[in-house]
Amino acid sequence: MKCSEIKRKLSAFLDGEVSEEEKQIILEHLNTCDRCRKEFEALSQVSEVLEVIDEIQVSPFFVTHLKQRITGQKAKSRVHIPFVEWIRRAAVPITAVVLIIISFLVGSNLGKVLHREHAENMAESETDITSVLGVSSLAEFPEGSLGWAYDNLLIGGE
Amino acid sequence: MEHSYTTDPDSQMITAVADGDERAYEQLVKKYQHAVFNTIYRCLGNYEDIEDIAQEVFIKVWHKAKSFRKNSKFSTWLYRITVNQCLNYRSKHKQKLVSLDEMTEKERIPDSLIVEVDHEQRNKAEIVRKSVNKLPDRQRIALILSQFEDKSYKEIAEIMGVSLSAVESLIFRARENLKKTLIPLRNDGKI
Repeated sequence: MKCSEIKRKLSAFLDGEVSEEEKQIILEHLNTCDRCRKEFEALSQVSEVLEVIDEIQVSPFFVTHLKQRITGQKAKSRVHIPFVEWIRRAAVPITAVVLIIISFLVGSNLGKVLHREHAENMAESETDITSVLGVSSLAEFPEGSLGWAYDNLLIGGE
Repeated sequence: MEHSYTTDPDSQMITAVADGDERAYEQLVKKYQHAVFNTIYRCLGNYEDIEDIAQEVFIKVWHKAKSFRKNSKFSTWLYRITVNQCLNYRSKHKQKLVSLDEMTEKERIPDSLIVEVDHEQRNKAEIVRKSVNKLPDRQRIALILSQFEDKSYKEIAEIMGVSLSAVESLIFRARENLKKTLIPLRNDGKI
């Protein structure tokens, strides 16, 4: 390996991130090349110097603050259900109510139409209800009798 | 081919967290809070907003536990979230970070967070930290993960989403850059 190649590998060598074969080549090279050895010493010094960077302690209330924040988010999400989510949840009950109302309206109108048609048919047939019911003979009952009273009820008399 | 990290010691806990287990979540937070705090501190080079950023990291863990795919270790995933939060913060607060860099350490570090060291040591640390802070983002992150978090190049590559050779090159260039600033200071006895 040339010096330039060795130089590029020195940092990985320092971190133990080279193969066993590369390690042997680098070690042999460092024994014979002053320039590369000085470069390796400089990189080692950089690593050493970096160790002076201090550590910080975790705030003692960190976990408590974190849990409070998560609980707060949960409560917020319970109060403010997004509109799309609200629609999704309400879709089934709303559809059921709408279908019931539509069924009622359609049924009611259909009933009216059928009833009207039936009444018109009845008027057109000019058929006396007493003949339909087969009770025309009631008219022949004497006035004041039960048959006469029933006949009067059917034909709408007094 | 995706690998499942069945030997990941945190595997069971993150599965429990995904099922809403708050106790498992608290255990994970306590286990990693120190690493997350210090990674943020070293990545950003200042103390301000560290707790907020760390909270954001762990809130993401809570909300995204279900989407965590076990083709990497939990810690790799956690460091990836941490690094991304740091990069987002840095890009949003570039001006603020520059001005903070001009302040002395004493002016901005809450006493409660300082690990007890002597005055001389703190001054040295401040000089070195400022030099690290001037490195390009990717060089600084790769170096911090290797130097302070003892991550292998393979794991750093996974965390940063780059190739193994890219990690090697980033750390090499970071050390070369630091060599130019730190070695003269060391020779002058300043650090």
